[in-house]
Amino acid sequence: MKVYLQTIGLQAPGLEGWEHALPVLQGVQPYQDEPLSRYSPQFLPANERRRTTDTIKLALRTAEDTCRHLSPQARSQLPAVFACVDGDTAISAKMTQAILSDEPMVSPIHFHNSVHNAPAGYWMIGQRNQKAASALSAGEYQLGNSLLETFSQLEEVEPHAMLILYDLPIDPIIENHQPDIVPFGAGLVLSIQPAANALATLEMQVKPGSQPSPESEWFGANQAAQILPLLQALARQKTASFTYPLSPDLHLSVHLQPGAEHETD
Amino acid sequence: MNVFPHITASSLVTALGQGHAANLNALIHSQSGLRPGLNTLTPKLDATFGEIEAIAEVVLPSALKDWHCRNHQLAWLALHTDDFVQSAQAAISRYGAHRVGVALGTSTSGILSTEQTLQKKAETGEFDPNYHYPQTHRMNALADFCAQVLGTQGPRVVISTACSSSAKVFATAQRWLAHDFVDAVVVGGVDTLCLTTLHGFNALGLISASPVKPLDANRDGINIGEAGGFMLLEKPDSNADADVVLTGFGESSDAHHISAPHPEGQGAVLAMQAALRRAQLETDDIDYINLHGTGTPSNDLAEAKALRHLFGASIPAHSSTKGFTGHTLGAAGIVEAIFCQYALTEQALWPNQNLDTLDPELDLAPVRTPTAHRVRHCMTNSFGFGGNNASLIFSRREALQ
Repeated sequence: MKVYLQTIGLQAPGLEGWEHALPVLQGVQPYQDEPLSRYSPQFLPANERRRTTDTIKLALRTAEDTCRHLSPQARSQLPAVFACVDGDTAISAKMTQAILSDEPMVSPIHFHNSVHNAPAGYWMIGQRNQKAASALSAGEYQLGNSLLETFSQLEEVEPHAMLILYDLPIDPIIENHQPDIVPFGAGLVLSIQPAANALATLEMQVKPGSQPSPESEWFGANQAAQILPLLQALARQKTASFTYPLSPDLHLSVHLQPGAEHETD
Repeated sequence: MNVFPHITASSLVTALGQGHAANLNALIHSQSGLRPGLNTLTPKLDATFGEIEAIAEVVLPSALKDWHCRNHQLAWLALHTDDFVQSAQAAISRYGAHRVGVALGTSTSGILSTEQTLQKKAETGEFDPNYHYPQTHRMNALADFCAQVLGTQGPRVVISTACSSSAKVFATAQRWLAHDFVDAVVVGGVDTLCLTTLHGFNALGLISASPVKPLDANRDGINIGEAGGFMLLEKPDSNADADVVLTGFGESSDAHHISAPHPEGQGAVLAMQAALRRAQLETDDIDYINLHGTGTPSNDLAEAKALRHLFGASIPAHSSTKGFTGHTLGAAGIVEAIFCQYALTEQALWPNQNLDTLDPELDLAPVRTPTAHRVRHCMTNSFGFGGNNASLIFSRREALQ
């Protein structure tokens, strides 16, 4: 099964924006850990903008970067899959502490922001987009299942879809065994329609057998950052193959061919 | 990609009871599972709940003890109900473990474990060594737990889109089958009571102290319930017996507000239209609609407007079953999918409980008593925070021929 990579977005410390990050991804410049700049989702009404959290902002800035070359019309027609392993654990920490009191007072804003699909909801509101929006978690099998979910949505009448991968540290209030996670967000718009300006072709196959997840530099155990080796190959315009586990004994094999498709078939 | 998956097995545990016989019996006899207060938790709030007391007695095998939490206790209970484990394992034998996927919905996963751990920590100052965040509270934990219990090796994912979660898993499963990634998928959802959700809804003014009254002029909010349910979806050319098939699914967004529905039900209309298109059915093919019908003033009004917009003067027979189970949130999709399965197998319509004074503004005529009726195609709606909508259509297999 073949899919075309139409656009790409990247938002992570030291890799803020796809174009800006290219020299680092190409290995021309060394990686430098610089915090992400301040961000506020200007596409939301002021009232809603103020309510967004760090988790929601990471997802939204990644989606904005991913769609930076798309018209408002195109953005309003893109189905979206938001993939995050843990969700907004900072809000979970606040709410699970708030309910300890004898007369619990949970903030209504925290509560509606706590749903796993809050970033998806804000994105669709901001883009006036009434297409399907999903929010998923697959733990150690995150990247493979996220790509599979996004790819499987593509069909003749709905040929494009956006995948936003974002993960960030788990709040220490709710997890004392802290894995080393550095925030990382990346977005892809996939299409089954060939286009002259496609960034790459991805040939995907579901295959039995266990395969290790790709190692990613710089972002520790961040599941979303497992896409980084693919982004590095793309930045270097190199053909490459990757495997992403879908379960302990099944994986997604992805063959990357940078550039628009040349052969006719 | 018109693959209509066959429903070859299912199981359900709600406040109405454990298993199909108990749930069906309650629907047939109009016996609600809602009760004031809770036995297994201290809610710190006067409210009515759909509690499943049997969860507290479930003991997971020692090999799975790190996964212990109320959500997985209920998942275990539901998997071991109505021979579901045996059916799933038979599918694994037929197709191979890597050809059986798991797509499940939950809104809060095992967050109750975190609540309880923080409570203990507040008393002792120590983190409970038996607390395991990745196996309980983390959002993917339900899929990993069920895959491990069943022995599946196919794709596995948790969809968490608030109250549409376990409706959307049907869309994921159908697509996996249509692309031939798998031959069978375990779909479903589990959501269990926790104080975070209860007090969160209370902060939004959406909790009713009394039994929920969907579509009633005096409706004043939801009752929270808990539920766990599963369906086994198989490719249509399987030889397994199936009376019921998934014919349609539609997903949409309101693009209106993070927690309030679109006032005209625009997203709901889009989801229902998409489901009809997918099922290749017309509006007058639908015999029964299981409404989202939460019992909040705004939800029921928006859904009623959506029905009027789509079905015009001839809205099919309809009811909300939230008066039986409460709003089971991330599990509502699977609960009501199985109530549609019952409607199709029993040829009956389920009543809209607790309806005293029908709200005239809704302009609806819900089913008020259990009614024998020809049911070939059933629709069920699930809408969630974030303006996230899903509509499913189930059909009798012979109605397709």
